[in-house]
Amino acid sequence: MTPRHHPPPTWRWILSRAIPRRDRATLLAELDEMFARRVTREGEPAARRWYREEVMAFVVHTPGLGASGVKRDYGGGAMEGLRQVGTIVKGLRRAPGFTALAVFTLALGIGANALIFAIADRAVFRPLPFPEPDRLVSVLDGWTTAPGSLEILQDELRGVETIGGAIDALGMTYEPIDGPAQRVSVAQVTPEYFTALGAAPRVGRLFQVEESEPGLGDVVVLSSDFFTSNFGADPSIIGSSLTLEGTNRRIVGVLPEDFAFPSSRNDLWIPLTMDSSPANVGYHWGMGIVALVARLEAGATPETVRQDVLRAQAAVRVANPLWTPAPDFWDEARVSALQESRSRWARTPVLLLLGALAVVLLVVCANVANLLLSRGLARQRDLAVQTALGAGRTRLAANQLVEVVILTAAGTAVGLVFASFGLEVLRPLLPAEVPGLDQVGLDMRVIGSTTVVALLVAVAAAMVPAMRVGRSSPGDFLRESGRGHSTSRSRRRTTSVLVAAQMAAAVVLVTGAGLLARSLYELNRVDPGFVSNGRVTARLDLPPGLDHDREARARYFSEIQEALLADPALDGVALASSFPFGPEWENMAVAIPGVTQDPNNLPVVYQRRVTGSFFEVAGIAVLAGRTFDDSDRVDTPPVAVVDEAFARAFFDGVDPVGRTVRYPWRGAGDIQIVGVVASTRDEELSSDPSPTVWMPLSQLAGGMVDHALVVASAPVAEAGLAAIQSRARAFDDRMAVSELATYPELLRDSLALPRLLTMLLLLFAGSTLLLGCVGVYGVASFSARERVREIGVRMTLGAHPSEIRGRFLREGLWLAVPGGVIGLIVATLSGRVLSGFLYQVSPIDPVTFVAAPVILVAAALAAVYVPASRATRVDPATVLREG
Amino acid sequence: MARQGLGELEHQTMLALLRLKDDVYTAPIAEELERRTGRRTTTAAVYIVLRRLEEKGLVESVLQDPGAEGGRDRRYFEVTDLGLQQLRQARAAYTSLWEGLDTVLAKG
Repeated sequence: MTPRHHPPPTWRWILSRAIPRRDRATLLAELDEMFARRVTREGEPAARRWYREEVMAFVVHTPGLGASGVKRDYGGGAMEGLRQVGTIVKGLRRAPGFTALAVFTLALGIGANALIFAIADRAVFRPLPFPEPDRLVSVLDGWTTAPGSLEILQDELRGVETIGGAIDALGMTYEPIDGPAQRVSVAQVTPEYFTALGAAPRVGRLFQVEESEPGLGDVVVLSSDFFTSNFGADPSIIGSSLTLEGTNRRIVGVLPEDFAFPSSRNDLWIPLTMDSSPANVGYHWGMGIVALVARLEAGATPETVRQDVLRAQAAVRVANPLWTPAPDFWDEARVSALQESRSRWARTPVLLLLGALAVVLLVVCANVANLLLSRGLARQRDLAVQTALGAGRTRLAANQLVEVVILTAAGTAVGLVFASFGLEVLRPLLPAEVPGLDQVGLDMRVIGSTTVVALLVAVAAAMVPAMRVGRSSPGDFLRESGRGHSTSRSRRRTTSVLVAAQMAAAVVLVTGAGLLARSLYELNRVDPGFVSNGRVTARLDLPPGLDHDREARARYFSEIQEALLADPALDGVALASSFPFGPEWENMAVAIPGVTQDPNNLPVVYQRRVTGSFFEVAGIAVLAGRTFDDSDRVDTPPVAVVDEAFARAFFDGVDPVGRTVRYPWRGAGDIQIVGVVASTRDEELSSDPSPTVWMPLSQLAGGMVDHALVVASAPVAEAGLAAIQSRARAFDDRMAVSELATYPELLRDSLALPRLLTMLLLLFAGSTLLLGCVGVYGVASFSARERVREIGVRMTLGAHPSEIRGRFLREGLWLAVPGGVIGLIVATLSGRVLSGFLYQVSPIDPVTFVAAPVILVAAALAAVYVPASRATRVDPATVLREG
Repeated sequence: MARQGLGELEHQTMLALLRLKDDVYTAPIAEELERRTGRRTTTAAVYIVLRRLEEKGLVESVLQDPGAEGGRDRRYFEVTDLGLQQLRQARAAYTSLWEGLDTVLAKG
C-alpha cells in the first residue's frame, strides 16, 4: 500500500544518502509509512517536523557505525561533504565575532544588491509581459499625435502587423449605484492597442474592432484592482453596466493584475473612437495626445517603420483640416523598442545606482577577504598541523571556500531581510512616473540574480586567502614558532592593499553622495516664485450633467469659490484649471501679433486659467498692470496676464501691457495683455521658468473646463483639506473631490528622484565608509597584537604612551591617504557621470572634494585610535616575561 | 560469547522487540520505545542499536517480501536465544540490585 502522504522530497533525499546501502530501501519505506501515519494522527506540520528530526538523527548518528564494528558500506561523497560542512559550521560557531561581522558585511552588500536589482529590474530590464516583446515598438517615440494621424498611419505603415493608440489616464467621474461620485483614471485605447501588445483578459474579453466606430463604443474594461474593490471580483458583473461621465457603459472584461499599459494609473479602459466626421474635427485632429504602439512584422526593423512614418507625413499634411503641419514636422520622429522607450527615463539613474552598487560589492569582497585573512592567521597553527598531517592543500582551500559559501548563504538570507525592509522604507519614495516601479518586490528574478551575485562575491572573497593557503609552506608557521615575521609581513601587505582599496571606494561614493546631497540642498532652496507654505490644494470635478454654457459655468465656479471661502479653516481661496506643480498642465500654441510670423511655427507656452484671487493666494508678485477682477466677464473683451519669462522671451523685456496674444486657430480674436506677474517654476524646480499666459477662468469657462483645482491658504493644513472636502460635497454632492494635498507636498514630490538617488548613495557611501573603518580597525588591532613585545620594550625604555599612539595614528594615515588620493582621482574622472544629476553644483565641487577626504581621514583615525590606546595600556613587565 | 552487559538502549530495544508481536521492524520499534519510555527515540538510534545487537548475535533479522499486500520489502527482527539469555542475566542482575531498596525509595 502506498502512503497517501509523502515526506518532504529534499529531506527524503538527504535521508537516502545517510542510510547504509543494505537497509536504504527498507528504512526509507518504513519512514514513509510512519510519516503518513503521523500525518493522519498529528497533522502534516508535526509529521514534517518529526521527519526532519529523524533525518538529522541519521545524518548525525550513522558515522558512528564504523566504530561499532559494522562495515562501512555507505558513505557516498554527499554524506562525507555534509559532515565536513557540519565541522565547518561548528568552527564558525566557535568564532562568533568573526562570523557575525562577516555575515553582517555580506548581508549589507547582498541586501543592497537585492534592493537595487529589484528596482533596476522593474524600471529597466524586465521584458514586457507579452508574447515576443521584442517585436513591440513605440511609434513617434516620445511624441503623441491625433487620432486622425493614427488612422492614416494604420494604412501607410507596411512593416507593421498591428498599430494601436492610447490616451493615458484621463480623469473621469464614475457614479456608483450607491455612494458618492468618484474620480477615476481612464485610458482610451483603440481595439488594436490590445491586439498589438498581445494582451489577454483575466475575465471576459477586450475590445472588438468595431467598437472604435462612433456609436458602438459604449463598453468598458476594468483593471483588476477596480474589479476587486468595486465589484468584489465577481465575474457575473460582465455584461452589466456602469456610469462613467454620465454615460452607461457595458462591462465586457477585466485586465490581468499588474497590467500597466499605457500606465499603471488607470482604473478603466474605454475604446478610442475614430470619428472623422466634420462635427468631430476638433477631437479627431486637434487632440494630439494619442501614443502609438505597434507590433512589427517578422523581418521589419524600427528603422524601416521610421521610413514609412516619414513617407506618411505627406498624407497626414493633406488630411489635417485644422492646420498644415510643416513638411518636416515628423523628421525627428523615432521608432524605438517599446521596452527601451518605457525605461528611457529611468535608465541613467538606474545605471548610476548599479555603478555605485558595484563599488559597494567590491568593498564587501575586500572586507570579507580581509576578515578571512585575519581568521586564517588565528588558525595558522591549526592549518599548519593539518597540512603536516597530510591534509591536501586543495582540501584546505576547498574548506575555506565552503566556509565562505556558508557565510554567504547566511549573508544572503539576512541580506534579503534587509532588502525587504529597505524596500518598504523606499516604496513611498519611488518616483511615480517610472512605469513598473509600483510593482517592485523581491520576486524569484531578484532572489535568483542576488544568489548569483552572492556566489560571485563569495568566490572573489575566498580567492585571496585561498591563494595564500595554497602558497605558504606547511612548516612556515611551525618554524617561525609564533614570532614569525615574513608570513605576517606579506599578509599585512595584502591586507593594507585591500584596506586602501576600500578607502578609495569609500571616497568615490562619499564624494558622489556629497555632490548629490549638495545638489538636493540647492534644489530645496530654489525659490519657486510662489508661496507654498500654508497652502493646500485639491481637485474638484464638475458633475457631468452640468450646463456647458460659459456663463453658467463661470457662475458655478464663483459660487464654489464663495462656498469654500465661507469656511473659517480657509483664509483665501482660488480656483484654477492648472497651476505650477499641480496635477494638470495645459499648453497652448500662441500667436503674438507683431512677434510671431509663421503660423506653422508658433511658440508653445503654459496656459493657466485662474480666478482673480489666485495671485494673492499663491503669493505671486504683480510686476506691472493688473490681474483679474469681477469686471472680466464672458461678455467683456478677453484679457490675459503674462509672466516675466513671457515678456522677456517675446517682448525683449519691454512692458507688454496693452499688447495682444491670440489662439492659433483661424478667426480667433485678440486677447489683451493687462498685466505682468513674476515667473514661477512649472513642473521641476531645476528648470528655469517657461513663458506662461494666465487667463481669467470666468472668461474661458467653456465646455472644455470640466474641473477646477483649488488652491487655498489654510493655517492648519488638515483642517483646510477637510473643509474643502466637506464644503464642496455640501455645495453639490455630484462633485468628485480628489488629489487632496498640501502645496509643499507637491513640491516635495517633484524632487522624488533626486531625493531617492541621494538617499541611496548616502546609504552606500555610509556603508562603505563603515566597512572601510572596520578594515582599518582590523589592521590596526592586528598590528598592535603582533607588536605587543616591541611596544613593551619601547615603554620600558621610557617611551610615552602618546608617542606609541602617534606611531599608530601615522600608520592609520598611511592606510587612509593613498586610498583617499586614488579615490579622489577616480571621483574626479567619474564626475561627468554625475553632472546630469547635479543642479547648481559643479561635478568637482571644491567643498565636497575637500570634505570627503577629511571625513575619510577622520574616520580612519577614529578607527585606529581604539586599538592604539589599548596597545599603550599593556604592562611592559608582563609582556616581556611572557615573550 | 558477546561482550558482557547490555547498554540501556540495547536492553530497552530488545524488550520492545519482544513486546511487539507484529510490525517487528525498525520504525515501529522506535515508536514503541518512545511510547513506553516517554523519551524521544529516533529511528536512527534504534537502527544503530539493532545493527550492533545483530553484530553481537543477540538479534537476528530476516528480509521478507511483502506478500499479497504489496509494498516494499521489510527487515523483521527477532531476539536470538543468546539474546534471551542475556536479557535473563540482566534481569537477574537488576533484581538482585533492587532487593531491599523499596523502603529507601519509598522515603523519597
